[in-house]
Amino acid sequence: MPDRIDDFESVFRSADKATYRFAPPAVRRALVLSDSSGDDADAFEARVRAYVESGEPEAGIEWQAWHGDVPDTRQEFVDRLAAYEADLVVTHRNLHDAITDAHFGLGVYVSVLTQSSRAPVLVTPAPDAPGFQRATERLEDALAFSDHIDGDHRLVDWAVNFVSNSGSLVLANVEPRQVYRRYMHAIGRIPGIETDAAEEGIRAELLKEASDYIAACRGHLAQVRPKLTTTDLVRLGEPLAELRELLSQHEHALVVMQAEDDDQIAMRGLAAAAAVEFADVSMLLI
Amino acid sequence: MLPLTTLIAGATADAGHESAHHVSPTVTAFFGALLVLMVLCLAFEEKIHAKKSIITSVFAVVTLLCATAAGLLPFGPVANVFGESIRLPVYIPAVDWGVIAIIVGASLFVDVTSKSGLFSWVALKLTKRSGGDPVKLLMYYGIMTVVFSAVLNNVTAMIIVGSLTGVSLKRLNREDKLLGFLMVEGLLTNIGGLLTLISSVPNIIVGALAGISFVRFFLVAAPFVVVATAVTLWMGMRAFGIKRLASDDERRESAELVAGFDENDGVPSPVFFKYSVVLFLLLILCFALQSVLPLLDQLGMGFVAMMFAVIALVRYRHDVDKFYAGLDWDLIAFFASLFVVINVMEHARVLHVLGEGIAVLTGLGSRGGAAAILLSSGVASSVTDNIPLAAMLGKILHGMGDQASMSFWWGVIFGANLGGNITPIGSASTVVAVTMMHKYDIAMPFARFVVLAAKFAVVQLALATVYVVLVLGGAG
Repeated sequence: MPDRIDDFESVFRSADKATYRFAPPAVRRALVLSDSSGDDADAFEARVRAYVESGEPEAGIEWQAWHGDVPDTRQEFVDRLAAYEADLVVTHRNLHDAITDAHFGLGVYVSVLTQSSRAPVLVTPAPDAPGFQRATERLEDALAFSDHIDGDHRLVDWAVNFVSNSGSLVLANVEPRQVYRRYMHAIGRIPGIETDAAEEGIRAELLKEASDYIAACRGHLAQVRPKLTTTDLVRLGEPLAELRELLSQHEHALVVMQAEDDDQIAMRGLAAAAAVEFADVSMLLI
Repeated sequence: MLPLTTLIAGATADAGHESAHHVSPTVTAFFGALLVLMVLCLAFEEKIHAKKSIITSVFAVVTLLCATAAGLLPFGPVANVFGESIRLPVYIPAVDWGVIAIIVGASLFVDVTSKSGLFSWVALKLTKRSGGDPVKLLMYYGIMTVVFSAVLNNVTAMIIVGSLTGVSLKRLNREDKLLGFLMVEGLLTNIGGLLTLISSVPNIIVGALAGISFVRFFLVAAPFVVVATAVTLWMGMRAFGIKRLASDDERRESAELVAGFDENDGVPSPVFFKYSVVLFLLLILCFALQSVLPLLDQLGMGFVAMMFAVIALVRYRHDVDKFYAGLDWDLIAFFASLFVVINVMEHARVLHVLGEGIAVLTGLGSRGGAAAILLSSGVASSVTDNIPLAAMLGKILHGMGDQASMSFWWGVIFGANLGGNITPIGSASTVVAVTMMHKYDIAMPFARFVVLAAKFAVVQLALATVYVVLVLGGAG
């Protein structure tokens, strides 16, 4: 009897789809953060302001800036950031970082920033990096990228808000094949579970959840953003390889990802890896 | 236990002519004690950690051995209508294979058609139509429980509606109402179980013995089911504080939440879905017209159920073994062995003695007797399985021939079904309801269930008594 109860519960849970209604994120205050000063700082600020506003955000933004000086301690940095009460922070890679090679990571300050602030952080390539101009040209193309997009309204809302109304948005979900294989390996060693059926069922359900959610998002966005072109990508694979492939097709795209770790200990694994790998794109880490 | 020699000496059986054979009161008392012991074991099946089938099977083995030793059983060939002599094990004709065929056929048919997504489609469609309003939701789920209990069976109905209730109330953030919903649905399964001849096993057994047709059963039971359902829903809303949504905002929010359900999600193939709808309607039609349709009138309802199961299984012709494995073999073995025990009791004249006790009740007349039978079977089936009760009372009334008023049969049917609402072990569907409550971390010990269910059960039994006495009592 418990099996039959579970069977029907599964049917009804599967039919229970996450619905999506676009709720524009309230971005009233934005903070531009750079380690430059003088004209360089002004140029960076102007560039990123124009870049953000090209995405036609819902409401007017009050801009603030913090250029140049380096706080002495991590806490001081965090406290000062909090004082701005910004809804969005815009900065560049390797902020206040002695190591300027972007491929070593985002830099200590940007990492702290992404974890200490609830506000999303838009990270551009460093202003003197070769890819900076191309990555901050115009918000016409965005990739909302996740390994678990189902029900992640916040990710989609921010991605929609950061692409022009007539732009192009890719909603992508790549379930990590490695994790899937790890669980299948465990399932393959449990006598009570039929391995082939479990593999097929779990794969189908993982992809179905994401597909259903993306379909709901696209359906709704077709009504509220009729000129926005949306496409989907749902597959089982290696997330970084898939993102690399996507970026080769969408060179100017802003990558939108969840960065917050549930325990706020470190940047979320996929975002951290992507941030290191793709140094010449702008990323919105939410 | 009595020595074997005492048993043998106590009976001088004339095989094949049980009415003629003499059984000593001692032997009858011995077998009566075995019957009481079996009923007690069934009542405490949870305590003794034994499935029903193994309890009745053990008693079938013991009673068969004892009855053989006592010379009570009609060993020898069985003659058919063509005068052919067939050798069958003595316990084979003891089983009512027509009833078993209905149960097996209907179970297989329901299992296959549920794969089409038909039942979940209906359930989700109604959930969306309710707009998430708790009162509408309870009404829709209540009516759905009754209808599903009537056309499927009450256990499947409880599983379908109960599991949807868990998912949808969680979606609506109204898990605090889960107890009320599951309780009302559990109670309604036994009302829905009264609607048709195939809705519950007591109906099938008693209906077959009393010769009640599918249509006749429905026409008699439907008015009571409608009234009892409405009353139970109304009482449930009051008892569990289930109220309508107060503001437009609440209504909008709830409607948006249930709008997320996709009724087509569980429909693997539109063609199979339509095929299942058509098959289901045809099955109901064939059940309804079975007694007047050529060929089917001779082959019986069990054949109808098995025929439709086979037609449905053709869709899964490569995977039929999965459906066979999914059958409730505990239930089937329980019926088969129970029939064997009852058959032995008949030969040991235990049923004859019980019939004399029942005669005290039937002596009250077609109205008073029916009320007494209804209430006593209600109380009896609240603490033990209603199937052996219905099977025994059915056999006893059948043995009374024309003296058994039609209202007595209805007394057994109403009492055996509604008695299941008094305790959490009174019927298989209330056991499912309580299992679900435990699954959702709702504590439901025996006493709490009785306290919550008592007022519903009393009202339902009172309504049934009034109906049987005033409306059916004059039927003679």
